[in-house]
Amino acid sequence: MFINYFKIAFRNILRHKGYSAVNILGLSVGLACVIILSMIIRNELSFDGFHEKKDRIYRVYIETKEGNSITGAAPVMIPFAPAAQADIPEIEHAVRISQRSLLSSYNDKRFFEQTLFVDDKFFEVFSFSFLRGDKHTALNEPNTVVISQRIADKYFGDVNPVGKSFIFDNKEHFLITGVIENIPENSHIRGDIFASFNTYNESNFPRLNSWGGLSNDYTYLLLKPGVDPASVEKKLNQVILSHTEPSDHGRYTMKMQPLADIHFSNFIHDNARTTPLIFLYVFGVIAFFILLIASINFINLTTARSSRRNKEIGIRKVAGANRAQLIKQFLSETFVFTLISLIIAIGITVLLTPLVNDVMKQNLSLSTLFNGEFIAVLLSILILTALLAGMYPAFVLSRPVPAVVLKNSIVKKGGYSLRAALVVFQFAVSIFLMISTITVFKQVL
Amino acid sequence: MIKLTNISKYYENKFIKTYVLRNINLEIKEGEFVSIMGPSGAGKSTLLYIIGMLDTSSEGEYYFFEEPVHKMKEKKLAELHKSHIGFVFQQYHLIDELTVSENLETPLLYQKIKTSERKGMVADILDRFNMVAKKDLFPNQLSGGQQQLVAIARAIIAKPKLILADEPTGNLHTDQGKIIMEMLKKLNGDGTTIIQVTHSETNAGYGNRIIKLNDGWIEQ
Repeated sequence: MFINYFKIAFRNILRHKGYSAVNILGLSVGLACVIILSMIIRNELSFDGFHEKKDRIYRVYIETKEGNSITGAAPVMIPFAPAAQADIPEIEHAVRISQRSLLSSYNDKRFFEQTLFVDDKFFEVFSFSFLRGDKHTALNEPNTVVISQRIADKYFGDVNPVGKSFIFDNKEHFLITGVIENIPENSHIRGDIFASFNTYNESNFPRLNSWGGLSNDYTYLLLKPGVDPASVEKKLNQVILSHTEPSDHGRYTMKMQPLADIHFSNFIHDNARTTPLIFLYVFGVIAFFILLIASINFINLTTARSSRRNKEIGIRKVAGANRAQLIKQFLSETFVFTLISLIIAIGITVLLTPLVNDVMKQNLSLSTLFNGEFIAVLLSILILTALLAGMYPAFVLSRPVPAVVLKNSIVKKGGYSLRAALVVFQFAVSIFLMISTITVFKQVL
Repeated sequence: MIKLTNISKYYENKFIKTYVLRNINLEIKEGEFVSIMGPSGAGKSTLLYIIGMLDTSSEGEYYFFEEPVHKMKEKKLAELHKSHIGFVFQQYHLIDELTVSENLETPLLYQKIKTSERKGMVADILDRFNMVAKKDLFPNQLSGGQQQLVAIARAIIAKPKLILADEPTGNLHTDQGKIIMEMLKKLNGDGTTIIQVTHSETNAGYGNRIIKLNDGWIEQ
């Protein structure tokens, strides 16, 4: 039965090429926007999702009160982590990241590189894949370093870098003990060179034992399985109290945030890649409105031409079609339209992805588009659009047709006011979106 | 099989009733071949459509095989007429987007007949009407007479007991018209009741009864 409907749908599309082209194009552009926005939202939500132990990882931060405002700051004093690990048994590992820019050289290649000094248990907390070397021991010794594939290619070409040494700052030798895969784009931690924190001592790192010094230093906690995070958070302040002077108490409140929240946080002095959460809501709303406009377009084009099909509908009714069967037929036709539009929309998306990445500073890749979960998203967009755009025309077209139409094929005009209202709505939304875009654009500039 | 009592049809426009049919009393038995004749505007097509359940009367009672049609809801009406009645229009009214076979299949689709059975019935009808060679053509590729034949074939494919024809040869010239009437005559011979609306005395001659309508009344 449905094959029949699809056959008719295709033939109808081919018969009215101009109208079909306009309709499909409109729907495709709308769908392309929706797909791109969905990809962006999905990308943002996927940040840090690849860490195996993500449900147990938390980042410590400091809350300060100034008058009526509360500010969060990401940097945490260096001695906090080992103290917390010692004082709080629920913590499995407490690890730090301390960031510096160093001149690194190997043979005749020398560049300034962002270097992250991390504790030896760092790779037990965060899941970055090792291509060479052992994640459990790579950073145990001082003056060791783990590099990304990108850095390995840059300095060593095809040669295995493990066992070779960098010279940092023209004076220190660092042994390369491991190579990891390039860090995924959707990670709040960005870096290519991870040096061992054990390199630091009192003389070369003044902040090592300072409870007052805050810089590019960040602290993460891996909690033991089954531990209640709220109970741990309460104990964090105690660590400060036991290690600082009473005159300094009350200055800071130590808090922690789950790994999943880091990408959306809004702290000062934060080197992590963040996006305000409100953006996602805005994108979602925009995507919905664009879909609405595209569907309304489809509805208007289809119902405006509905009187042309009165004759066919009359004949079908005489031949015995009941309303439900007619509705199914028209929904199938909408489905075919939508499917074709979706395919074209995917094509448009593929072409536009580099531009989107550029303008919106995203890092969408085609793999986001073509993986299993997103196919489900695409299918739901397909069905939602087909229903949204198809329901009203299906009901209008299957309305009881007076016998008059069969006798002399008079074309009846109707439904004008609803169409007019829908067009006004389309213009209103479009103008609103345009004004918003221009406003935001001017503010950003 | 068909019994009309006091059937009237009027259109209301700001309290003025325009009568198209007045006080129609009619009985038609199974197997008859009836021709409804009369001048333009006499209400012939309207009467036909009411009998065919495509339109409803404003007043009166209509019994089809003793069932009260005037009391039925649209759904029941549709059920009834699709299984018992076949319609042939003056303008053929074939679906232009479908081939001949697909047009013929349409009534069967809506009766939920299985695909294999459907294909069989279509093939059978094509054979009877000698149209097998044309089964994949589209209506606009056929001549008027051929299109009307397809329309008749479509009307009878579900084996209805009653065929209603509204000026079936109106758009055809004499020779083609003759073929159509011969076909209808043959069907009547096989037991199908036929009611046709026509202007032509010749066509009326094929039937065995004539009803004359004038200005909404039956002329006795």
